Amino acid sequence: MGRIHVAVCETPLSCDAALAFLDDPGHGAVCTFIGKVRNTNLDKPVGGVSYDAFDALVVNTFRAIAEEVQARWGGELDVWLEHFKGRLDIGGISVVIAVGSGHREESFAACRYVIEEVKHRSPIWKQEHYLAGDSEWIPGHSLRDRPEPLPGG
Amino acid sequence: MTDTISLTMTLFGAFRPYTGGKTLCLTAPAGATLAQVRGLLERELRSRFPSFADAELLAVSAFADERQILDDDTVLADGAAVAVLPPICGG
Repeated sequence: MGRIHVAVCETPLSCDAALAFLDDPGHGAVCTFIGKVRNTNLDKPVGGVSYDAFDALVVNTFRAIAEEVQARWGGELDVWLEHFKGRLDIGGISVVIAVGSGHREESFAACRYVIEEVKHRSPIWKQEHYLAGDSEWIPGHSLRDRPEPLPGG
Repeated sequence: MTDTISLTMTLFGAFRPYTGGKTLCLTAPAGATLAQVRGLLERELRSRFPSFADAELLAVSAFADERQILDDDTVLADGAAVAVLPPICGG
């Protein structure tokens, strides 16, 4: 059975740790996705990003997503998934996803699946800090199934 | 059986500036559903923070415990810890 590692970290994420976790003679492919802080958003210069997370539920969703990967692409796949919590400067690593598999097709597909599911299911928030001095929480995907009409709507 | 229950609310993301990362204690009628608690929370936020201007954000926020997102008809127990989750944006 493949292995799963998931975590929310307040210390810098390590790609080397992910690759070490996936070191397996049975893996002919390891695919990684690394999310980083970009220096602009919608033409506004960005100086950094703060990430907030509801750790317990994030870890639960991470594990569920990783188990879905194994159910869909093979139980022998190893999955690494860590997300940062706290403030990062430009170029800082916000998320590391790595999947090891026998062949490349499975690890490519699984890696893409994991990041898309994280963005839609894991309670994590992003506050951008702009060089102009202001900050803004970035709008995202609602986890509420049945939204009530907005006030006045 | 008491007439009221006490809830511990933790607000995340864009709600953080109001609570400064601290939890917020909310009193609700015994047997209150999550839908009722949503209304009570909005009233509490308006009362505690006169500058509160995120009612629309609260309307699209999910409520959850440490295991799952909770439905609006969930009946909360005394002492329950509830997380308030505005729309998410990880990755």
